[in-house]
Amino acid sequence: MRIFGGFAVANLAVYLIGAQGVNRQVLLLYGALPAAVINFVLTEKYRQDPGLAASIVVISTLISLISVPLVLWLLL
Amino acid sequence: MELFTPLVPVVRVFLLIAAGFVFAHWRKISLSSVTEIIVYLGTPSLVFASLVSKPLYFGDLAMLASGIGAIYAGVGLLIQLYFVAFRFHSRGFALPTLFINAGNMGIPLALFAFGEAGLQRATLLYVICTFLQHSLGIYIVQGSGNWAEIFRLPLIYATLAGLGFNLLQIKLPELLLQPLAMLGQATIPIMLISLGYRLHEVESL
Repeated sequence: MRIFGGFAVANLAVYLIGAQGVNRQVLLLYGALPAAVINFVLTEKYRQDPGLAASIVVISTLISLISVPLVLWLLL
Repeated sequence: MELFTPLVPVVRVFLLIAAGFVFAHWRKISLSSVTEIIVYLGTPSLVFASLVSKPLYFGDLAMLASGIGAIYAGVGLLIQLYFVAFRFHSRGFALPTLFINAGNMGIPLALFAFGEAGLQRATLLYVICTFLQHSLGIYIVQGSGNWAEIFRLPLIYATLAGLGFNLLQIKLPELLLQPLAMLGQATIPIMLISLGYRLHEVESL
């Protein structure tokens, strides 16, 4: 969801603000990036489902092995 | 195959997570003290050291900031819809779903795919994402609608100080910068190992 939803939202966003060229490409790529690891550390510190957060970081990073080349292939 | 070159670091990431997972098999530790070191010492050093040294390019600041702002707002909305639809609420879900790995993945990927122009934009986006992560992110995870928590952690100060030193072109003596950079670099593997450790516990629930 992070990756596919993010990519969909990024498409809508660049359309709305009319970004072009490299700005557009970089924003689309960023929309589809996996979760940052620091999120897991913060959920661990505040005891907010750290197990779930850890799983999301791992799964989204795993999916990015396929989704990032796919997004780049669509953009380039 | 060439398209996969920038993804090699991802493999290294998984090796470190696996190390934490295996470690959890035969040692039981308390993650909370590790977490405190990461949050209070490691990540601030990482962020500060990476922000002071990066050349920043502000050409398309407004465009990029509104772009990433719109993406975060849109994804935030999707998360809310998801919570309503499935009658479920978890800040541990919202946080990693909203905040992206802009530094370790975004910067090298953008450089690889879009060259120098891509790197300039990615670095700026990294600064914006880091700022959001250390303000909005802490606000969200802490819950209870308390903005003061943001200022109780050193993360926001490290972000602002790194940015300030960069913009004012203040050069820190190497003797001071080097230990900060060292600690910063050690932080990433430690985070990954504790992540692997936590996953092992999830598995055994």
